[in-house]
Amino acid sequence: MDHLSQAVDTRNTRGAWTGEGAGPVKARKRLATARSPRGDIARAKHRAAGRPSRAPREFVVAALVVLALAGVSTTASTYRAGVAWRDRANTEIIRTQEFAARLSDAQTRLAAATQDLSKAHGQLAAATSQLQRSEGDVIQLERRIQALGTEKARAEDEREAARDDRDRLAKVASLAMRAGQDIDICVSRLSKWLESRPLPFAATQQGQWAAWASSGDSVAAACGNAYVPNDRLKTVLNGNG
Amino acid sequence: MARGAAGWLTALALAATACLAPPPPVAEPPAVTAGAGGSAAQPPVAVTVRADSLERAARELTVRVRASGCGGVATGSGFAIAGRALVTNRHVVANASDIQVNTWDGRSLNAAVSRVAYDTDLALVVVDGELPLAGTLAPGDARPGGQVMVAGFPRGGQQIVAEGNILDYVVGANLGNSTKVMRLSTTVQPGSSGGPVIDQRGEVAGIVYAIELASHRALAIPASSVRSLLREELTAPPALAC
Repeated sequence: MDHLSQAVDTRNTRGAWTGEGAGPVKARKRLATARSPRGDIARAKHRAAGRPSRAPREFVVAALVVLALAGVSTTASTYRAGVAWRDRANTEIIRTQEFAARLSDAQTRLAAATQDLSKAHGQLAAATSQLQRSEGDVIQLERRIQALGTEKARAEDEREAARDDRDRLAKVASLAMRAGQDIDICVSRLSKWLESRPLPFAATQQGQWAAWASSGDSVAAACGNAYVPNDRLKTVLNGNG
Repeated sequence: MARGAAGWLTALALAATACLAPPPPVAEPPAVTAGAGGSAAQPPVAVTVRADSLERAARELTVRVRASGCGGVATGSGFAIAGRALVTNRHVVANASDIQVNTWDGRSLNAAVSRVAYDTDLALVVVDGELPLAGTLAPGDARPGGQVMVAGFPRGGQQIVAEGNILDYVVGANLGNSTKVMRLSTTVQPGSSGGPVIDQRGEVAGIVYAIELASHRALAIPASSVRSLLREELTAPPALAC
């Protein structure tokens, strides 16, 4: 009876755990079978088989232990990860708040900078316009200065040319005066020399003719000197001096 | 049944893995700079010389040279190379007893020849006042095809700044110059002698010294010859022939 009740309990227990054949009808059928002669034969076969029915139980227990350990481990790890994520979330919330504050600050500065920029744009446009007008004025003034400079340079050219002409004319006048003086000396000496000639028929005065002829050499030298300034004058007048 | 249990276990494991994953690292917030200013390190700005600036520079560094001497009054051009020195052609100041320089802004300065080159038509002239703008010689000779500006006072009149380009370089022996000669596409007139040839960087690439008779185009002495003139020892200015 003990064996019977044990077998019934065991089977009920296994059936209940596995969910196979559990129920009062099936239990009564199995009880009837166990009380029958065929049940005795089954029990005998069961005893002859030794103790193989304990192995699945140990496997189940081991599996349950492993699963329990895995569950505990998973729970612990999940808890730890959850704590980390919560910390992370808190950190991110703080940072988000900081970013929001900085964003607000930056937006304020951006708005101010944009306003300043638009103001500066306006000033730049005005300055550019003024600069362009000024550049135009400067260019016109530069051109005017250049034109006046050219006129001044040309006037200086003319002044230099006039000064050159003046110097040249002064040189010509000086040379002409010198040439005139030398020619005057030549003519004067020649005239005196001619006036001092002896009488034409004074044959006895041969010595006088020789003296007169020799005095003509000085006249020739004086008249020869008159050629020098004259030649220089000609050179200057020809534009080579 | 077994497959269903395994599926549930797998799902449970995956869920546990997802829950157990540590939270990702918190990204540092971007730095917010105070004020509305830009970044401190700004990219370099490419500086380009505008054409009108070049033309203005050409006008300001070019001077008008008047030489009075035996042959009367002659005019030419020159360009300032320093505050009180300019370069022009030797034939512009040859036989001059009196040299005067007119700047673009109408000032007149007395000048004297400092040194002349023996083998090229170049002369260095010093003035007794400050010139408005001094030019910079190009470090090397410009390449043919490059755009240039030629400034000068043709026939002693209004200053002209003409654009052109360098055609080529030819041997100067047949063109009255011992060094190579730069041929330009620009036409010039008497009075432009000594005017600067300015490249796109605003540097003096040469100096006009003659006109090619066949085409009336300008012939110029390249900057390298001008540089050698400035390196030469002091030489006496040419004696007056009159």
